[in-house]
Amino acid sequence: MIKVENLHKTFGKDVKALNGLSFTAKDGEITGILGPNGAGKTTCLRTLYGLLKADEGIATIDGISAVDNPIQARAQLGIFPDKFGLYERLTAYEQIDYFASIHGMSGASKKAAIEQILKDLEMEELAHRKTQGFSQGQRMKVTLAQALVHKPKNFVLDEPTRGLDVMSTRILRDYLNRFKEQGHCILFSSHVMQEVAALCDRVVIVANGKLAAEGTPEELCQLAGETQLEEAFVKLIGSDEGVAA
Amino acid sequence: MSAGFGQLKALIIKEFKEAFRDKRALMVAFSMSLLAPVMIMVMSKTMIKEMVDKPTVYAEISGGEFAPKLMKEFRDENIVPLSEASENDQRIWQKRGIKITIPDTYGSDMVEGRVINITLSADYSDKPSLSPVRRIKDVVRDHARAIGYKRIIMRGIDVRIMKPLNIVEQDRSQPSSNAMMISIMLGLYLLMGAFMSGLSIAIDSSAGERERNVLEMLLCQPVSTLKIVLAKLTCSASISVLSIVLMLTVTSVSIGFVDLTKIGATFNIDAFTFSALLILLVPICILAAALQLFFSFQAKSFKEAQSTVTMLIMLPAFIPIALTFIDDRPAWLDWAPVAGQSIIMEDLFKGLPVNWAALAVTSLVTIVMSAALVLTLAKKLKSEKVVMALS
Amino acid sequence: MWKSLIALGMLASSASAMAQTHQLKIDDCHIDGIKEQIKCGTLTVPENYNKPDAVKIDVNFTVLPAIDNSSNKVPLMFLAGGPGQAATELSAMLRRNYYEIRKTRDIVLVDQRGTGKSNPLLCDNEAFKATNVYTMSSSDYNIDEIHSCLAEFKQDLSQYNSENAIRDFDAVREALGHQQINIYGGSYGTRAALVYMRLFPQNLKSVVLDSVGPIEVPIGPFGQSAARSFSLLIENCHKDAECKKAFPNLEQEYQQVFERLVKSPIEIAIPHPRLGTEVKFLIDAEKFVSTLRLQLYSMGQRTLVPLVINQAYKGNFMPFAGLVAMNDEEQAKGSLYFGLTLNIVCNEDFPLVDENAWLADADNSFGRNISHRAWRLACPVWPKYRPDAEFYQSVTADIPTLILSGNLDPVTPPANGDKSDATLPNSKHIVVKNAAHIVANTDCGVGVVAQFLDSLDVSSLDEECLAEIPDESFMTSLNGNM
Repeated sequence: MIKVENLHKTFGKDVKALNGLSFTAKDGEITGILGPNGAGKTTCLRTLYGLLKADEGIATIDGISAVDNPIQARAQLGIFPDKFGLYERLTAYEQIDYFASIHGMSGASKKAAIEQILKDLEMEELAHRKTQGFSQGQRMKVTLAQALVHKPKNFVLDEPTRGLDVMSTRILRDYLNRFKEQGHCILFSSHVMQEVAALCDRVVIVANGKLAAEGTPEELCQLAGETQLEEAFVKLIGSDEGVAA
Repeated sequence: MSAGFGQLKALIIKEFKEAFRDKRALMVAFSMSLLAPVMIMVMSKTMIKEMVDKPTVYAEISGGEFAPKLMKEFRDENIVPLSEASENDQRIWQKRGIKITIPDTYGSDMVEGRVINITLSADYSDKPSLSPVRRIKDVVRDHARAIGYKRIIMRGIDVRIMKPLNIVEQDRSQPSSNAMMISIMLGLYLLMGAFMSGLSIAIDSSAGERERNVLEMLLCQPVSTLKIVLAKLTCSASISVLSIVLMLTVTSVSIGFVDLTKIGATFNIDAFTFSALLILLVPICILAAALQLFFSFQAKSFKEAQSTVTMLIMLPAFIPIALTFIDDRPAWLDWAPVAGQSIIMEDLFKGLPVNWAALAVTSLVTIVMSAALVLTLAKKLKSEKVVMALS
Repeated sequence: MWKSLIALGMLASSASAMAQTHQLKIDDCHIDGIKEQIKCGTLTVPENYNKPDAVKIDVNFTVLPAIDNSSNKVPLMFLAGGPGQAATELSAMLRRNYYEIRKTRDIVLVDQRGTGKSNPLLCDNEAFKATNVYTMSSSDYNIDEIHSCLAEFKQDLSQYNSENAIRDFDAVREALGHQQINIYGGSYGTRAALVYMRLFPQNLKSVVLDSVGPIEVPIGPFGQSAARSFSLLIENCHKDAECKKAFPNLEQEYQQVFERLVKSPIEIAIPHPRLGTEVKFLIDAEKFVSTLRLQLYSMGQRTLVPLVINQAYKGNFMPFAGLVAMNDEEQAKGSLYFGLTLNIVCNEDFPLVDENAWLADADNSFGRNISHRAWRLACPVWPKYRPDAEFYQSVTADIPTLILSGNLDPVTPPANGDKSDATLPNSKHIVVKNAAHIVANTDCGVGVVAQFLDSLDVSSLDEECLAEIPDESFMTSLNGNM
């Protein structure tokens, strides 16, 4: 479970990236953070990773403060970053192995975990190829595998579908649904409406660094009095700026 | 703790895997260690040639028939009339145009004890003419002196009165061998090798990883930035050490192909020198890696990292050279990184006893400086500024 | 005037189980004529090797370190001539001449016991110093001077022999930590080297014998060899058109001057060659012959001989005075320690020469018996010791040995080298046409020695340059010639 309470973050003198953001992503649910560009999504996630320190407020992962105890908090997380790169001179297996080791796994259990994730993601054939020259979909799989190999309870994805083709996006969705069924907490940032509508159990709409609205997609539509989430979204944030169809 | 160590081990293994698969960076890393021996070989061959060979000097000698004994002296010193040169040499020496004119009165003037003017005409600003001109003058001077001494003896005079004062020189320095030149070169290359070899690896694993968007992912992992820096440092420094070992080995082997005995020099790196050099240079490798990582992690781009860090290379080359210009070295220089090592290396090559205390202090200072850099860098990597610069 | 005693090779400059009881001292030092530091040391050895606990003496030595500062190659020990030359006093000359060898090898120089700083047998007597070479007559030998000189020696003279000298050398070798060593002997040094080869063959890597004085040929009667060298000089002069033209009657001129001086010595007043003040210059046959004979040792000095004779014949003795001046005072490094010279020659060689041999040697047209006189006066009164019969055996050690002889040599003619070459199983004898006493004093000669030390193969030497040494060329006028 990921919990964010009253996050404030100011960059420089007066750029308010976060302005009292609060929300909760529950286990067994996919929670989407929806917001226009510059709404504070990335800042919020980086605070969760412990890379940034909030000026005020708390972010906890399974009750562990990401601010006070970032290393331990990160251990509870699987992260799928917005711009994911790969170690192109390593094979997929080595790369997954690397992240597994960083998460403190070793020996037979590590090996089993890697085999498992490779099987889960149907990427056994890819495993021993160097990642240089991988397609976008293959790269996505490797990134997923390295994020999930240590079986984190919580899984954070930052704009995961950006740059992905339709097939890859579908595959990703399937996996996310499967993880949800296994009881994981999935936090998902996006500015793509359909994706959020199709995937998320709950949606958190962020605008100007604070929570604009929160609920299931249906609840949000009701809240805004619209049938389409997109319309609801525009209404809720009070602007259509930066919203992609 | 063991988990933490396993983590560090994984980090280091990954760095090594990447480094050894980066053929281009490896080539850069080991190019020094292969090029340096070649350079040393070529330089020592030229040096031997210069010191041993008395290349033939061709001069236009007119009136040689009037002074057969002088001509014999010239010939003994490999100074030969231009007419005897091959076509190719003739063209070169014709242009140089060194002329010796012996007057036809040589014989009678000699017997009558008059001063005989031997005219030497050459372009004294032409550098290749300088050594031939000097050699010609030496022959004439020595021949004249020998005749002069004999004339004095034949007049019943003790020749020693010609030399009222004799300076007895006593050089208290340890005699340095002709191999010194090679040692100096090798020392310079070793320092540069220590600084340069890990360069590409360090830049690639820092600025390069950032540019390839893998750094942020790593910073989000449950691992301390100190371990990340240490892993990269270990890899980069190890590559440098490897490069130095390679350089020493290849130099030892390649110098075997040069007949240094011709100039009274032998050069071999014995086990003691080898280990002493390694003890000396390993801290330098570490400092170099720390410096390179420190600057390239903070560079805005791969390109910037390359240019900033390349400037660092100037450091090792500059310090030993600068040292030779300082007559009275301040004491702290003995302990300063690079300078200290360079001084000890000089002693080592000269065969002087190694000042182990100075070695220990320099190494310590170097390591402490590296540690400070590493800690600062680890702290900086946690800072928001670095994180914000990631995207 | 014992100074005129000339043994073998005094002009080289023109050219054990008891280890634990030997005490070695070695340190950096400076020696005149060498700018850089070399190693000087002493080794304490028993004066009498049969009484190791009795009197000890210090043997002085120097080491010229190899230029490359390495100790990769087996060093070369230089055995000096004389007998009576102190090897360490030749350090500066050898440092210069032996450049090619020194590049990679240490050169070890040991003062033979009785010379240099190894308990020297020095006579403090005026007669043994060349303080008044101009006024003194060479003929007024005084046996009292020998007696007073002997009275000064505290040493047990019987121990100052060639064999003990070699025992000292070998002790130095061992003390310096060399399992084997190369030796170069020049002149009497070859005699020493041969003794070394007999006593300690296993400790020698290779041997160079330059201008050989083998055990079979006693030191002392040099009349014939000097005359041979002198006649070769005249022959060479007459092969040279200019010399022949200048001195067509050289032989006769020499004989006439010699006869005149034998009849009565000449005394003239000259400006002292060094001081410039007037001095009485006495010229007798002995002074004339021995001074000329001295010039025959070196290729450089030989060039002056025809002119000096010719001028003397014409009554001008100034050129001769110039030659004598070169022996003025005890300046030259490498002069003999006469005590040792006499001690060895009078005991190891003199007894072997019988009256017939002396007479045969005197039957020559150069110095006649002039070079005999000093030996024959001094040796009978010198304290006696006799070496073992073994000492006189020909040496047959199977060690790579390079033998060098100069054809113009006035003391150790090529025939001497042939004698050693015949008895040594692994040797090569090179006779150099245009060399006098000592071959390895030119770049070429030293180069051949260096080559031999590296290859140890007498059959594969490239000695071409030795044959290319140009013929003698002589000074034909007081100002020289073209």
